[in-house]
Amino acid sequence: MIRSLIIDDEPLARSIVKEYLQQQNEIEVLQECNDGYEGVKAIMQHKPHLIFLDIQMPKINGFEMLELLDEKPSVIFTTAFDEFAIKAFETHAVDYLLKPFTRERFQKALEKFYSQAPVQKKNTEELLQSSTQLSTQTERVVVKTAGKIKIIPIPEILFLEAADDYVKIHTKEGSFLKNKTMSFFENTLPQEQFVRTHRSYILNVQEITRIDPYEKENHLAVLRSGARIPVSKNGYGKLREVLGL
Amino acid sequence: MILIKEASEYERFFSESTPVRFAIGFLVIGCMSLISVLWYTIHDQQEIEKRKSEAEKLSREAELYKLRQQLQPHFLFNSLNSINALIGSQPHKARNMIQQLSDFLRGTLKKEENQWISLDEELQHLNLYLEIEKVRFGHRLSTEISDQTTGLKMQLPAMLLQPVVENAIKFGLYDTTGDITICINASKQDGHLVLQVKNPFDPETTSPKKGTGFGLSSVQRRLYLLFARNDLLQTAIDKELFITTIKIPQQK
Repeated sequence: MIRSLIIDDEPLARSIVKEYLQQQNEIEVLQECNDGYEGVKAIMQHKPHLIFLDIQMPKINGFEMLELLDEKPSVIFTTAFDEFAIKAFETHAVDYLLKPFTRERFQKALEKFYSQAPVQKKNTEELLQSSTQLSTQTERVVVKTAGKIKIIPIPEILFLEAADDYVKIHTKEGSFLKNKTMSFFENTLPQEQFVRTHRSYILNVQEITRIDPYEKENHLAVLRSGARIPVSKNGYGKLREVLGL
Repeated sequence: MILIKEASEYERFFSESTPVRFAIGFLVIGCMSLISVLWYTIHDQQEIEKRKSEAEKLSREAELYKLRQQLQPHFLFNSLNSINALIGSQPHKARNMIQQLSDFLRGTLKKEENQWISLDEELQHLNLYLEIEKVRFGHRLSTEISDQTTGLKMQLPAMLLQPVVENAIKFGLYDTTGDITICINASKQDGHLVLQVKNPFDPETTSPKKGTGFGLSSVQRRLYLLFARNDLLQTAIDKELFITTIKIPQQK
């Protein structure tokens, strides 16, 4: 039996998926979720093989929800997003269904799932890597902390620190781990505000109070919070450029 | 002696050369003014040219925005999806919604910018829009529309209130999870039609300053183009309510 979830904020949109699934004896719907928060909880609880996921939802959108999961199920997007915007993800998701969709089209998506099931996990990872192009993602970062979901607006980030496979996001309210790479943040954060000053550090230039020389050609940036961030020779050049020194 | 002699000669020269000096002075002033007139004309021309191209660019953008605004693909496709779901389970509701959607689209296509319409007509049109949203989110959307100007024949430019209400739906309905109420109130104050739209928002995901998104800045811009005033659109936050107020001067 294939376990599945339907995540969409419109009851009627969920009911059409459910209706189409009724003919599928091998797929069961474990739960319907109203938003991304419920989705995360239900996925961790049920560990489904397949989810039907809307993109535009309250609280956190479909992409942000996927980012929070350690083990990612296969995804079929159901969305009214225009085709243009969703094209980028075509190769990574099992399939995407543009609302409204027919039973035949739905069936085709399921067949794709059956035929590609083993490679799906990797694809969902790739999907999230490429989701950086989505402009809506650059206003905030969504993290999970002690079972709760936290939304960090970009301007509230003080600095980022590499931590093994994670990146530690430092804010006034504490620090949070996100399973992304430093280069991901380097490429997606607004470049006029965030500078990678060191292999392991990216800092918010608006937080800098002063920059002190430190050992050889290195420097230390002192932030308003008192944190001292290493600045390499290369990073110092980038920093001067952004600050217009 | 020599000095005086030279001085008188100089005086003579001075008086005899007066016309010539005047002529030279005049020429210099003439040239100066000519140059400055030319310079200012060129400058003005450049300014006009710049304004013209800017205005053209703006109107092109407005045209595009209007098209997008009218079509609202997201709203349209989601509504069609709801109809698709209703056909299976509640066909009579599906028919009803097709009718509402058609009436709404027809009303939208009929509207032209810069055209004034009656408040009654605008509220009816908005009501259609809200009824459709109620089918999609019926379990959690309720609306309160009150009009204290009945019989006063109030008028407003087309496509002005609609984006305000759409903005309220976006932040108040699409981006929230609980039961919500959207209030629209129309009243008359000092010869102005005052329209107030109230919607809740999710403080966790929406920072209030984001509330004056593109939807509202375009309303602000239109009010300025129509009335040359910047004080006709106001937004306020009252606890978890976002309040948008627009004032529309009435034509005589």
